[in-house]
Amino acid sequence: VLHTAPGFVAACFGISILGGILGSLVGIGGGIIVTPLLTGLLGVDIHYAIGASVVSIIATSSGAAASYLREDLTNLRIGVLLEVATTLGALLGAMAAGHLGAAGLFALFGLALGLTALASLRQPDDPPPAGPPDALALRLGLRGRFHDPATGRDVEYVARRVPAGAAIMGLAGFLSGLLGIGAGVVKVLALDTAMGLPLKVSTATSNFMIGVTAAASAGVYYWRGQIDPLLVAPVALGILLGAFGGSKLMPRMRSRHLRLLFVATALVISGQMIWSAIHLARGA
Amino acid sequence: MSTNEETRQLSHLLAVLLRGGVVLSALLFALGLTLLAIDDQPFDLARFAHFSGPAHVGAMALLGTGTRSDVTLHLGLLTLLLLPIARLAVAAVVFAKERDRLFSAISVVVLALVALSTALGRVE
Repeated sequence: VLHTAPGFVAACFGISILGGILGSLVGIGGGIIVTPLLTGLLGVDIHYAIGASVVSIIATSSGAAASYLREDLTNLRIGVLLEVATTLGALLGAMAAGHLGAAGLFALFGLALGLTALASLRQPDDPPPAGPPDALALRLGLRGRFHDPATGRDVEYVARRVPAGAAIMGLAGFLSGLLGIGAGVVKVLALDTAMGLPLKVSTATSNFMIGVTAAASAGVYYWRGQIDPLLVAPVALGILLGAFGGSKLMPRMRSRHLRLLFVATALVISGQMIWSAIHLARGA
Repeated sequence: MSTNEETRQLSHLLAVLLRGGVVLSALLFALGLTLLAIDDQPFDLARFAHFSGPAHVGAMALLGTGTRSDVTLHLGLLTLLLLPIARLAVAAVVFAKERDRLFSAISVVVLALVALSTALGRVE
């Protein structure tokens, strides 16, 4: 069945719906879920899978972001400011890609991601903004308010530790450019853990930023010939439908469920990346 | 407080723009895949089994030589690729309208970085 165009397209489509739902719920691009399935199940060369992944990240980000923006969960100022760090990082990552071994980077990333996901389990849900608000954040107007339908209350917030958040964002952008992933999980950790934003705001703002960072990576991959429209179309369509469904679920879910889903997803991705690293090291 | 209202309007303008762009690219993808099925072109899974480098790059080249499904799929792809850039451009314009010079300048810096990254890919 896979050797006919409709069969291949249908398989890519089904995989991508799954990736879109998961990705949109936890604020990651979904491409990191789709890439191993395309290569493992369909035998697609990793280069094309990464190319489709990068475009699917843009699709997820744009599709879900429209809903997040309507819910007033996305903080545009925080997003645009930190995009300086992510695009700069993506630029450096794309340039470094040719000089660094993928196996070591996959292993390090998988390890860091797994540890951070486990560490985030220890935190209470939506920690109150302890400590003084960041003077820099106040001067830049990095604050906001949103209505949380899960609790029925308005939540106000001010960003903290802006330089630390920007540094982690630069790392996220670097990984994004290097591996062709959204690195949205790292972005959420920067906004949530480092900057103390409510999880729903950090997830939505992360989604806003992922598209721009992926656009920087996509420029490189497009001219490299890694983006094939025949593969991209079913993947992006599936992701769009999945992300649409996910973004409808997201504002109605309580943060605790969202966090547990996020941690479980991060651990699965972590194991997948370490497995990839071992596989790459053996092949080398 | 009017600044908050304008930021809210920016959010909704962006939401409409993104929704429209996403729907357009989805329609182009669906049309392209339908044309692919109608035209019943030969398909070889080996096309994706081994990365063959930048052989089929460029919408302009396709417009001359590609099949109608190839061209339609490529237009859908380009629509999608332009969405994050359009998002940044709208953000820059509305920050400027709010007389927020700092944040409109920051938006322009990000746009320049995305453009630079694309240029780097071409050089490579």
